[in-house]
Amino acid sequence: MTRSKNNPGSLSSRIPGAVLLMLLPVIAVWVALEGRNFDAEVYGLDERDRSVTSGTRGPKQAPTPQAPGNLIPDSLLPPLPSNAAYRPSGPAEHYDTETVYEKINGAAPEYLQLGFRELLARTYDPVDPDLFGCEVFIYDMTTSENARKIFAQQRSKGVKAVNIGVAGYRFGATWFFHQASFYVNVLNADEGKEAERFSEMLARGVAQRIHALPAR
Amino acid sequence: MSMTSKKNTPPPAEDRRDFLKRIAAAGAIVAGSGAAALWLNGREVKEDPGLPKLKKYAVELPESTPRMAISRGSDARTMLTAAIDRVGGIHRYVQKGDVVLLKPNVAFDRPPTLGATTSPEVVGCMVALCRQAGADRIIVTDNPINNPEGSFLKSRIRRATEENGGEVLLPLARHFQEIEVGGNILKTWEFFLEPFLHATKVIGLPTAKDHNLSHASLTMKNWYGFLGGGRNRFHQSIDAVIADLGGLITPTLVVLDATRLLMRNGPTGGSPADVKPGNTIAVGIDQVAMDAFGFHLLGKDPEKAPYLKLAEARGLGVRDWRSLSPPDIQTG
Amino acid sequence: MKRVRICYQIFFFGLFLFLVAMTDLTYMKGYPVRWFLQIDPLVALATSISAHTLHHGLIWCLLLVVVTVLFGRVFCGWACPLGVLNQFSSAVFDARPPGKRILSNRYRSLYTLKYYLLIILLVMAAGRSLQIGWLDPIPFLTRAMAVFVQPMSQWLGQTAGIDTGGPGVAMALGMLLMAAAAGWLISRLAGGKAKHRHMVRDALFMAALAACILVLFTFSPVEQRRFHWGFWVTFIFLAVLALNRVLPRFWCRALCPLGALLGLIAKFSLWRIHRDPGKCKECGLCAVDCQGACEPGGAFRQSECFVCLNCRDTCPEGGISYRFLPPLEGGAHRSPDLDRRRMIGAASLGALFILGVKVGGSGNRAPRRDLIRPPGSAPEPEFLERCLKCGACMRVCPSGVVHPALTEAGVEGLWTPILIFQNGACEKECTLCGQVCPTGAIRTLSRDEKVGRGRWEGNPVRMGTAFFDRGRCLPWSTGTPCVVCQEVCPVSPKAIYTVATEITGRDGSKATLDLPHVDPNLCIGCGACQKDCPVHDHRAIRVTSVGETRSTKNRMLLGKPRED
Repeated sequence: MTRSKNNPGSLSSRIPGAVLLMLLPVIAVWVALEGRNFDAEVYGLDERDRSVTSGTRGPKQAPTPQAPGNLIPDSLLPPLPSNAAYRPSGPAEHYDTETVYEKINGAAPEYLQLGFRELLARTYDPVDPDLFGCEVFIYDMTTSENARKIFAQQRSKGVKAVNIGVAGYRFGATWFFHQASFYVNVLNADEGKEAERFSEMLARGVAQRIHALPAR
Repeated sequence: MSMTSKKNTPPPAEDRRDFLKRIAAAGAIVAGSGAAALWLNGREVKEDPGLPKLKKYAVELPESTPRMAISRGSDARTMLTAAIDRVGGIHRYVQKGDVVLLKPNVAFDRPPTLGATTSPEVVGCMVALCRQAGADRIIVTDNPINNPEGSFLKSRIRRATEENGGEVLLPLARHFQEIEVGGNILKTWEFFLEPFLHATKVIGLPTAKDHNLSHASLTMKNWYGFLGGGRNRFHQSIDAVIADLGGLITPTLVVLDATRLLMRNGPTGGSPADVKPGNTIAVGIDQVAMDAFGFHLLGKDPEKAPYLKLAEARGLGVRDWRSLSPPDIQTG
Repeated sequence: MKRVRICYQIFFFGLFLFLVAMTDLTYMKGYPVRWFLQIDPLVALATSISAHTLHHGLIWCLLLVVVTVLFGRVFCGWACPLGVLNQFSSAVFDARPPGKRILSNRYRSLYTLKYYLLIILLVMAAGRSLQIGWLDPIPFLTRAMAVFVQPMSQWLGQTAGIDTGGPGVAMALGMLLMAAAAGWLISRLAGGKAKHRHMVRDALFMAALAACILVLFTFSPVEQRRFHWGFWVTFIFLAVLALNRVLPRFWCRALCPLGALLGLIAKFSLWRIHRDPGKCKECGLCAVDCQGACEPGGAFRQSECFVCLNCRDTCPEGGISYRFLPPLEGGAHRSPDLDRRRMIGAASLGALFILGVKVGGSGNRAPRRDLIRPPGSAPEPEFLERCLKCGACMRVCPSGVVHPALTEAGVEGLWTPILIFQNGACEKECTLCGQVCPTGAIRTLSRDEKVGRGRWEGNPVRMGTAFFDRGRCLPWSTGTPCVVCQEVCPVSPKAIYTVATEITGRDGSKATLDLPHVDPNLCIGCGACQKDCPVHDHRAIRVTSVGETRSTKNRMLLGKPRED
């Protein structure tokens, strides 16, 4: 290939080339700036919602704050001392027959069949980040007979009974009992004295408050 | 590869003109596409400039004119004339030059003796009466459930119409258009609008029959025959639909053909044993009252029909037909 | 200047790949991923003819119109990503000596074909059927990226066992080096200096392309994407690239309707190639690397010139220049040679197609049960006026449920997006498909509107309705408890409810079983139930299109009356 006579070294042919080349980074910068300019709300694909399509069971919805008409009073949950090993992580959640699936999914039919009316649930996050956390579930089963039935149905075999409510048992830091029309779970997978002390305080606190409720 | 060997140097004046022409051409392209783009940019393309709405076809009636009249007898012509005379006479409703839309019940491909369609005698008489009153055109039409050609034929309504100077209009796909219904359950629906484009008067000619869903098919249910689209969906909420139909169409007059009564197994019937001679024709503008009367003729309790309550609640008429003091004429 | 042009080509090809890679939930943010489609004047022109509106964003086309009116078909030579790909393929396939290359760069009357294709497509658009997606290079390439390249790169990467992110880039660079080394080795063995250079260059190009592809993979969602009958999109794409073996830049010269449109505009361009007859020695060297086959050394065809400027750099006499309003030589052809009869023939073909599809074919008709469109889609007639078949929605869907239709949408709807719920479900809170659609075939929905909150309370966007196949459903047909469908139904209250029913087992024993039912008033047709139904070869609950909110006719329910 012979050398071209279009003198490439001259200024007149260099300048347009240089200008054109400078356009490219301008475009790149524009694209980058556009990239930052977006409405996060629109892309708010909540991680929890993705479970519908990624195969894990059941999406979780935002908890509903206590609305008038919810029967279980939030006051059933005892206040915590300042040095408690866990702190509440959100508002107390209420679920009725329509929405209880969002909390307990496949377990719901069992409760519904036994007269479930309302669920009061709350999550407690550990102060110590190495721990998992604690959850309380208070199911209103409408009658004490129903509460007893569900308790019996779910009861693990060979677990030591504990003196709480009408009947109860625990293993580790996890407590189950029933009292009046309520079936209560305190679920705590953590081990150790701190966790056990916290769960017992919660369980007994709830039991006391149920006992103190006016007869309905 | 053709090539000019000598340089092509046009004279300077042409050069400049050519120069300007080319710049102008380029500018025109940019300007043209720019203008078009700006004009079309984000332009809303709305398919419907608003859906058509039906007019009301009622005529002015003096206070003293009864809103309903009943005649009994065995001859359709005598009964019809007598009843219409009692509500003001045909001239009050149809005048010279009118284009009258007559809507009988031609829903099924059945002979008249089975009571599923309006009697051809009544249809024929009505067409003749309108002719006498000076109507220019009398369009007899319906959108049957069964095949239109067969239904108009078997029911003998085509013959009755044409013998008396009327014309039959069979529904075609292009006759239908979506219209504004504005009801409680039907907001818009596909409607047999073609005959309405020409009509100046609208007269309903239902037959009185039993209906397995709505209990009876009478004056308001008759307008069903103007609807297109997926009518099979109506069965999900038949009463609300009938009430909406009653509100949609305000006819000039309604003639309830109760010369034959299909007492059971409506709306299609099938056994002559289910048909009883009714020997009655009711005429009027209060569709609710006439329907209640129809229930009475069929030996049914109007309380059982939710659609009547709904229609009355909307101010479409009164269920207590007796309160209208309809003249009840015996024509022998 | 040729080097500047090459920089531009690499930059725009890279930008195109980048934007395709960013068309993904995790990365998209505000990046203008639709930009190439929005600057495309053929998209703007055709959609404004078919839909009678210029969707917002498409006004960007004026940029390219102005650039073309000023400088000619620079888009084809400097920016078009499919053009870059075609040029690259041509270079790889065409290792012929300069003499042969001159022949292949001669103008052929075949190259008028693209103008007739443009006429056919515009007539179809006038008939309210948008089919430019077949041949407009930007949608064509975007679709090939979404349906073929991204899944392929995903597969390559996953087969190689690498994760997303850093390792992907490292592997890409590794491949680059390996390919370069291989190229050098092969050329050493083959011998000969010229061939040597050519092969090394080609090896590097191949490696660079492979690297780009693998990098694309690093921006992919985790699940391997497979698209419904993606084979055809792949096949046609590879065939187009293979055509470069026949003639260089075959597509660009003979088939591209955008090239035709730009060529028509370039007729009036202000800057153009000019050959000085005084300096020209008629050596023919300018045609050796001519990309547009515009014959700069003879009867120059302005509408075919890609402004690659290779001729300018090659001419040994310096006789070719790129000038503002050069005098038009007597022998130069200014307009494309379009035969009037052929133009009418092309228009008639377009009209026949319209008659065929609108009257005989998908025209009007019972709704199609498998034609489930993405949420926010326009009613079908309008959809077919707007959809470019670009595949951006298929690329972005995080669940991978948007697929190119084969027969589901009729002839007109080939490769338009449909939802297939076999391996995914439409995320309830996701509105991405509407965000990326450049022409508004899929409207941008707010999350509230899609889900039915706030102003739209009680009126979510429904894509269809789910129906149980009771002959296959485990509780209904085999007495086996299941009800996974109810668990995964995302709406609240659930659209699937159970009725405890007594059944008799095979041995005569009685048991109570929860039998599932769909409440069609609540079902939004998202396919979550279908996706998770354990009867996975042919799901026992399936969504069909009836009940979709975008259609007033495709309904089975009357709805509830308002209170009086």
